[in-house]
Amino acid sequence: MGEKLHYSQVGILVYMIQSAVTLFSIPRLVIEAFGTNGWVGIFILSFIGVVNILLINQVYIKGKGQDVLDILEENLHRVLLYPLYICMILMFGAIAVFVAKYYMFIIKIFMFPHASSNLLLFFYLLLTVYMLTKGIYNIGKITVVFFFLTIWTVFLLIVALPEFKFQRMTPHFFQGDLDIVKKGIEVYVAFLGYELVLFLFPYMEQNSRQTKAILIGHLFTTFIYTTACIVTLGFYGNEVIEKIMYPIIKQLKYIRAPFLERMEHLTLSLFLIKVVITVVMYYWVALKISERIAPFAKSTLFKFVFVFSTYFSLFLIDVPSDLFKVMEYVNVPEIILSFSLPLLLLFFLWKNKKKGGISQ
Amino acid sequence: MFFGKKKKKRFLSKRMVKENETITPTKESVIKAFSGSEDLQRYFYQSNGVEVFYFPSLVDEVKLDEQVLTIVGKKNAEDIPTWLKSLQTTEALDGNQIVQDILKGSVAIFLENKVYTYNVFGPEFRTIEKSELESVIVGSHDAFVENVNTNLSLIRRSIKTPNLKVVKVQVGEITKTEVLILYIDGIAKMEIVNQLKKRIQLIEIDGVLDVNEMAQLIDDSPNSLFPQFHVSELPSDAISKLLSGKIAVLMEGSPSALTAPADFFEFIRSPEDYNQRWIVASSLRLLRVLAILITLTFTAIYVSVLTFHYEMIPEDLLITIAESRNRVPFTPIVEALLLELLIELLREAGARLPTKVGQTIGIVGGIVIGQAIVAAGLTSNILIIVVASSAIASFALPSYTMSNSIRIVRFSMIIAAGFLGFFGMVISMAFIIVHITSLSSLRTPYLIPIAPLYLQDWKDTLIRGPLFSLKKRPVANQTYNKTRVRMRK
Repeated sequence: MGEKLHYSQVGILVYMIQSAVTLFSIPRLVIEAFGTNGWVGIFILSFIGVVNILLINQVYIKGKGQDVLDILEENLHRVLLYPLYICMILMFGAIAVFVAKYYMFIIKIFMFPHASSNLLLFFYLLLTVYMLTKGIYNIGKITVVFFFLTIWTVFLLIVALPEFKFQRMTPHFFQGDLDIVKKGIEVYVAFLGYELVLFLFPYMEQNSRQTKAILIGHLFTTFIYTTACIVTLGFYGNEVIEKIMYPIIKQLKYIRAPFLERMEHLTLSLFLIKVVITVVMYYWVALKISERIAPFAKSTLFKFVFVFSTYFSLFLIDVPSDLFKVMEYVNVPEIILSFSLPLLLLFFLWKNKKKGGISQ
Repeated sequence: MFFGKKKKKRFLSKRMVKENETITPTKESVIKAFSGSEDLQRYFYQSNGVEVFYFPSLVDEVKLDEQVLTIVGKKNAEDIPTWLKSLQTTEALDGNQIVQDILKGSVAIFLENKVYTYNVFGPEFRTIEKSELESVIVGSHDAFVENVNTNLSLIRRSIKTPNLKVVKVQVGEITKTEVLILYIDGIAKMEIVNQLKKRIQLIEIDGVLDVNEMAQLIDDSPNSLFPQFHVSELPSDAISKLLSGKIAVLMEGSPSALTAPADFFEFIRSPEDYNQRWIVASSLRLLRVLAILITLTFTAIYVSVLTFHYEMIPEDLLITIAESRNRVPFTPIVEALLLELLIELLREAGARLPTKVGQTIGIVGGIVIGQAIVAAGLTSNILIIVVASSAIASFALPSYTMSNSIRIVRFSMIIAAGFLGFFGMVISMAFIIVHITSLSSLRTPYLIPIAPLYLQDWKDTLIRGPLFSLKKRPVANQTYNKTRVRMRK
């Protein structure tokens, strides 16, 4: 079989990278950011994401699927290139481990209050390293399997529908104490992940449907976030949601089956395979950039050392609030990079085209 | 520089006959080659000076007697060459070739300084019977036997086309086992056929005795727990695979056919599925998927719920479980592993013993030990139900090899569940999925058509769609001729 990422895989990959731990808290975050009926704000943020994706798509089209790292290397001197690479490696590596650690905190809070989050993270990162050793094509395939294994959890929201009441919703929009910038950034970060597609260009099947697939992946995330927010809003109402840290998880507690109840344990655990894709992809990009600086980064040992060095960097962080403080340092740079990198690449491509035109 | 070139391993000791060299075709060379083989039969006819050599165990005695021995006894020395011509035998010019022919069931006829060989192969073989391993309720009951020609005939009599091609390959430096690679020209992809042929030809081993053994020598990931080729005893299975663009491999002495490339979902398909109404067949397939899930997770869920997440059990059920476990001194993981091990022992003992004794083992294990172990307070009643359900579910799979693999991997899930509850269970499951997804069979992804995603093939994966809808051959087979069914308008 031709080893290229099919557009369906790319679409699913985008959704799986985007939708991670923030999903649990997004109904609260949108209310904190945009006030009453804050879910409408998701559409605004999603639109910004669409603009960003279209920018990335322009890089794909103008560069004819060329590796973005090659474009950077052609146009930037090493003095500038290597610091940029190191910044990106550190940032993507940090995002990966932050997401993993944040998820471990949630697991610890709800499932293992007495366990060490570092111990849980250790096993989790072992799985991550194992996936990284399989290469991007296998990661693409694994993502599809994980997608089908987790997507049914969306239907668990239906269970909450009998408790859904329109009276709990309000006709007023964007009222209350708004914190558009700080909390808005937190919500927008939940959409990030699509920028990693930039690094997938050489591995993607050359197909005009790729753009559509990336957009569908992004819009699917928007749909999931919006649905989750609306259902939770009708389930709890504005005032209650604001007081709950993770409204989605709390909602899952109401689900009962004849043999099992309190299904949040099962769903939270199953969410592990969804979050792992986000973690793996950020690590994969960090490692891919590392290979440009040091060829030995291809080795399994380096992958292991890299992943576990990020693990040890967060070893002393023991409470979620400390982690949030550190995470704030990467949120804004990540957003800036997701816009500036495609713009920079487009500039280089335009410059190269112009140079090519003159030389001809 | 530091390491010398590795010496190629010798398969044949110095004492053994050098089979690749040409030697003079004399009686002495043959006698020397077979020295020590007391089962070699020799007849010397004083009337005409003819001497015949053969192995009685390899020949058809009636054929040999009627066509060779009786006639040679009656003929004069002058008539023998004419008679040999009428038999259409050719003169052997290489001593080693004579040895090989005798080993393949020929009779060697020595006349003065010339040697002729005549094929009278016909040892006793098992007749075509029902399969012991794969039972079929609706559909053909024929199963392959140990004779490769009979197996080939079982396929040829169903696929009456000159496009069914057969490639002969020899495997085993000593056993020289005949292997037949079958494919339908114009449907199967030649790159895959050539790849398989190359892999079989590259096998360097003293002997291969079964197609299952050969499969392990040519698969993409030899260390994997999961089978990467589908092996079946049913000709109907091999035939349907050939028609779908796959390749079948038959082997002398093996009552099974290997088909390639294989995917994971092939192991939950039964040839019988196509003989049932599609809704019934689809329900059965979904049942088998459920069986895999039950096998993998049932005991692990029990362990994780009772060790870490007991708040998940509804109150009424919790009381029942608590009563059932109140005398058990072990933690759920120890209790579960103890019982799982016992069930595995019973299964293994039942499989190895003769059928009648095997049944007794089932009764002894299932009823006597089951009852006693609860009465002794070593395990709970609930766990017996859980473990028995997962054991029964594991036998619902049509493939014995896959069923074994799944039963082994579930232990990793039980242990992980014992240490980290659902979290550990899902981590373990993720490891298994990552491993399975990265497997391939003749470089075809193992989880196709789910990963990579080919929605058009889903009609014959977890369900068996209506036959009229299965118009195309599976993408996994990369066939030249994609259309299977052209419905009448």
